[in-house]
Parts: sequence; structure tokens; C-alpha cells
Amino acid sequence: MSEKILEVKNLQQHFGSIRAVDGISFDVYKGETLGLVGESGCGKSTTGRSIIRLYDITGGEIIFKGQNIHGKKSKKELQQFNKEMQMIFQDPYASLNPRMTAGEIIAEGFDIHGMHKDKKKRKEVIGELLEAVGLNREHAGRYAHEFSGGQRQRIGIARALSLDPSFIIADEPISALDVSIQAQVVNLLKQLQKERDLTYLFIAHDLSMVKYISDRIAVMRRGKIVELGTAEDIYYHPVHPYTKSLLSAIPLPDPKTEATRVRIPYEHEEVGEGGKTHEVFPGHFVYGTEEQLKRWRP
Amino acid sequence: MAETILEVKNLKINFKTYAGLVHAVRGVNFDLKQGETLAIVGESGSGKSVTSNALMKLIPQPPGIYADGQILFEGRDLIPLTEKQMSKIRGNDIAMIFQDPMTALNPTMKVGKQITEVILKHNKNTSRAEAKKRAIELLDEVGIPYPEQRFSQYPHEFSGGMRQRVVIAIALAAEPKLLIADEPTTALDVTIQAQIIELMKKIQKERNTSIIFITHDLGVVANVADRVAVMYAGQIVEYGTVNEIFYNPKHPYTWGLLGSMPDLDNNADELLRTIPGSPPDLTNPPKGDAFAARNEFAMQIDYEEEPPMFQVSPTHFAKTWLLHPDAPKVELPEAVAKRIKGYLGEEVEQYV
Repeated sequence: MSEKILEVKNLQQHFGSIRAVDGISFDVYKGETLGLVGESGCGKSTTGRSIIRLYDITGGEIIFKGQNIHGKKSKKELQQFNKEMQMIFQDPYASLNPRMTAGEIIAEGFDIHGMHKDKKKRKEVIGELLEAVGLNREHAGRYAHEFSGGQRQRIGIARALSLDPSFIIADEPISALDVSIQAQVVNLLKQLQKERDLTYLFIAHDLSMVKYISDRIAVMRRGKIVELGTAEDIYYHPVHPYTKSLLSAIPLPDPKTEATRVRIPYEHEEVGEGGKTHEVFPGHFVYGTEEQLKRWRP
Repeated sequence: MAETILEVKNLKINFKTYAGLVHAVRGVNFDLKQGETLAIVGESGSGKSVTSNALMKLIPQPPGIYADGQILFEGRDLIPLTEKQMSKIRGNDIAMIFQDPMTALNPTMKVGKQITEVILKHNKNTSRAEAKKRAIELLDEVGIPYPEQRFSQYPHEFSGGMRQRVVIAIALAAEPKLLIADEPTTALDVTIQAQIIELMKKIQKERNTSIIFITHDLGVVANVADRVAVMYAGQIVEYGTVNEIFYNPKHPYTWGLLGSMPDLDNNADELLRTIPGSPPDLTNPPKGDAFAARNEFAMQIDYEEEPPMFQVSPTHFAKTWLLHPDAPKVELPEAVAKRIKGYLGEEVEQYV
């Protein structure tokens, strides 16, 4: 396996008495896509936002390219970090400033980082970025409302790419889009990953799309990662009953399967003091007590 | 054969906007039998929600205009009815469940009162005590634990899934014959979605309710529907039984929808099939087939003349020139064919 680009160690994010993220640890390897799935309120978006420093964390460590990113940082170090890590947001309607043109939105980072000051060069770079995400150079002068949802998400992607990052956090990037447009955006993300050697943290609740785009998947529930493994491990050999329950609820576009679907309900089990993360198989982790693991394993 | 409860004939709905007249629904025909579920599938702007709102006469006029057609509910056309006549039908005969359970409930009113209100309105002879008893029964029926305590709580004290159950309880309060569910599970998590769908099916079985289920999720369609109508640009482009639509699709738009969903067995190295471009602007619907510009199989005639509904089987119709006897034979795209074969295995012959 390639080198670790991100290490999350015992990350905690508490809002008052609510433990949105309750001590999670995982690594992300260079060039891979790690899918982070779970239902609303499980802490998956909070995790993404903590990693990119939108929140100050309550506890734990986040190490990106060998550096603790929540430690004391000089302005220069922070600027470098901000260039390296970018985010794509869920709602392409809310995440673009309606008073700015697509070109201005994409170029905002250039001003902050003092890049491409030459007007001609800047126009050229914006044009290249627009083309890279499947739009036209002529689109640079248009405002957000002149674009469809899928096109807006492409602008959001172009903005994320503008500073040539190595790591992108995509927080539900397709859930606000129509089915036929979702596939276009997912294909684009895959293609850009290949061309630009990007690493993705892909946050989503749509498990079939996550399976398709991810190399490895972490399943979150109530602020904990309950299971983490390769996409194949999670889909074909799930161990944690919550993962099994989640998988059994995904409807498939196949009437024959649906006619015989049996949903596995999930009964919450307290884990308590004895709970820890076990490596049940190389690279496949499950959270629980010794006794629970024994019961859950087939 | 069960009785037909609803017949929609050549329904056309326009909206007056500053940008011009939007032709949101452009001649829609379908019917619904007692106890049957029809799924209407389509993307945003396809006209599926306008169609379902029209059935309840919920289109505001202006800017909306019922330009043409009939909505025959138990043989009676709803379009000419007055607001007063309609209010007797709404809730009583036809009820609706909306996507967002928070906006469908009154946040300042206890849920119990929101249910008894409906019961009292539709049953003039019921006493308050009886209505309360019935409301608690309904909460219990839709799977809300401790219904007596829950009866006097406010919507914000419920989770999203529980709120949607309350909305369903309200919709059922007057025992409607037809339930219209407009993306009822889209805002919910998958496990909650599965529970809500199971609940709706159970209720349908017990009461023989007819359901129109509006959604863009083909997985959900495969689960709930008896028949499916695929909508595109304000028209139904394919219409058939659930097996016909999923295992023997004929319209290239249906192929596109089926192909753009990842399969759990999809090889991660292959890209998903996509439908290029985006839907047309309905202020100026394109000449010919509205899907032509996004259709890789489009022929000259697609840009000139609108295709009729071609009949594939007694229950299966598709609006594409590809079904014309003179059209060149086009094979089902490989990705879609492979998937269908994957699902059906040896039984392919039986379904196709």
C-alpha cells in the first residue's frame, strides 16, 4: 500500500454535551478514495469539517503529510495547508456566491494565495479549469443562477481544484443532484483523481454510489466508526450488525430482489468500557467488545 | 380485474411566468386500479410533482393553468370542481404525503390535535373523545411507540422518520381511497426509508388503498410499484408493469436512468453510463422528441416530429421512434443488458 497522507488519531468533536465525533481513528492513503458513510447525525460531516479545520477540535490529533494540523501554525504553514486540502460541498445552490461570476468564484483562491497575478495567465488557468470539469471557457463570465445544478457542482469542483490540492473532502457532493447528473459528476471525480493523483475523503449516505467510488469504506454511527475495511469487505463480508442492517436496507433497481427483500433491523447494543477496535482480518476493523465480536463473526 | 379508481386523460398544465409560458405537463395519460401502486419516476422538472399536485387540485391559479384534459376520480372529472367541492374530496377520498415531514406539520400544534382535527372535519358525528381514541390508534398503527404520550407532543420532539409516520397517520385519518406520496422517503435515511415503505405497503394491504408514488429513486420504484410511468420533459415516455420497465425497457431515456445507477457489482474501473446534457427548457419545448438532443440513438425524424406512444405489450407503451417498424434495430446498451442478465440469471426468457 502507498504512503499515508492523512492520519486521524482519536478525533473528538464535542458540541456542549453532544459528542458528535467520539474518538475515531483512521488513515487515508495517497491516491485512494475513502468513503465515510452513515445516517444523518452520525458525525460524518463533522469529521470532514474538523479535518479541514472548519472547527477547532475537542481532542485527538489530525496529521496531514506528517504534520499535526491543529497544532500551532504560522500563517505560511496554514496557507500551504489550505492549498493542499480543499472541499466540495453538498448544495451547489448554497455554496456558490450569487454575486460572483464562475470565473471569479474559481479565481478567489488565487487572490488569497497571490497566484497568477498576470491577467492573461489567470484567464488561461480559469479556462483550463473550466474545461477540466467539462464546462466551456466562455462560462467564466456567467453567474451561478445561469447554470443547472450539475453545472454548478462542476464549478464547485473547479474551485476545489484551482489551487492544485492533493487531498479533497467531498461532503455529499452528489446527493442534491438528479440521477442522470449524479453519474456525470461521479465519473468526473474519478477521471480527475486519475489525472491529478488526488486523494478523496468521500462523505455520503448513498451506499451504492459509495461502494462504486471508494477503495475503502468507514461506517459511522453515533460518533464512532463501527466498521472499516475495503469496499469488498464491507459489502460482501460485513461483521458489525449495524453495517449489515444498513446494507439490507438499500433498495436495488431490481424488482425480483426487492420482492424478496428481508431487512435486518438493528438493535443497538451498548459497547461500554470493554469496547475497542479489533482487526478481524488484515485491514478490516470492527468496533465492539471481545464478547460481541465473537457473536458477530460468522 | 380490480376497479379503475383514477383516470388521467391528456392532462396539460402551463404556468405563466415572466420568462413566458412554461409547459410543465404536456399531455399525460394514465390510470390507476384499486389497491394498486403506480410509481411516477422522473428528474426535477419532469413534471411529476406538478402532475401529482394537479390530482389534488393544488396548482395555484394563477400562475397555473389547467390547459387541457380530464382527471377522472371514480368517473367524476375533478378539474371543473369548485374549491368547496374539492375540499370535500381532499383528505376524505384523496390524501397526500409530502417529502419534508417538518414543513408538512404545524410546528406550533401538538401532533395529536393535528390528527383529531382531520378526523373531526371529515366525520361530523364523531365526539372529541372518540376522535382522540382513533388518533391514538392511528399513531399505534403507523408504528409510533407510546402513542398515548406521543399524542400530546410537538413535532420537534419527533425524529425525521417518526414525523413522517405522523404525516402518514394524518393522511390515513380520513381513510382515503387514493394516497399520493410525493418523494415521501427522499429526506430520510435508508433504514428509516425502508421502514416507511414497509409501513405504506402494510397499510395498502389492509385497506386496499391505491397509491401514486412519486420518486426519482429506481431502487424504491422496484420495491413499491406494480406499474411505472417514466416522465421526461412533461410527458410520460414509458409506461408499463414494474417487470416490463426494469427487465425489458424500450425508451432510451429509461436505459439512461437504469445505466446511470451504480450496481453493487459494478466494476470500479468502468465509468458509469451517463445521459449527456440536461433536460430541455419547457418555456420552449423542442420540436419533435424532447429527448432527442440527449439521445445517442436519435434519428432525423426525432428532431422533426414527436413520436406517438408505441404499444409493446397490452400493458407496456413507449414514446420513441425506435419502436417504429421502419426504424433501424437498436440493441439495448450493453451495460443495461448485462445488469438485467445479472439480476435475472437463467430466468431472463421468462421476463423478456
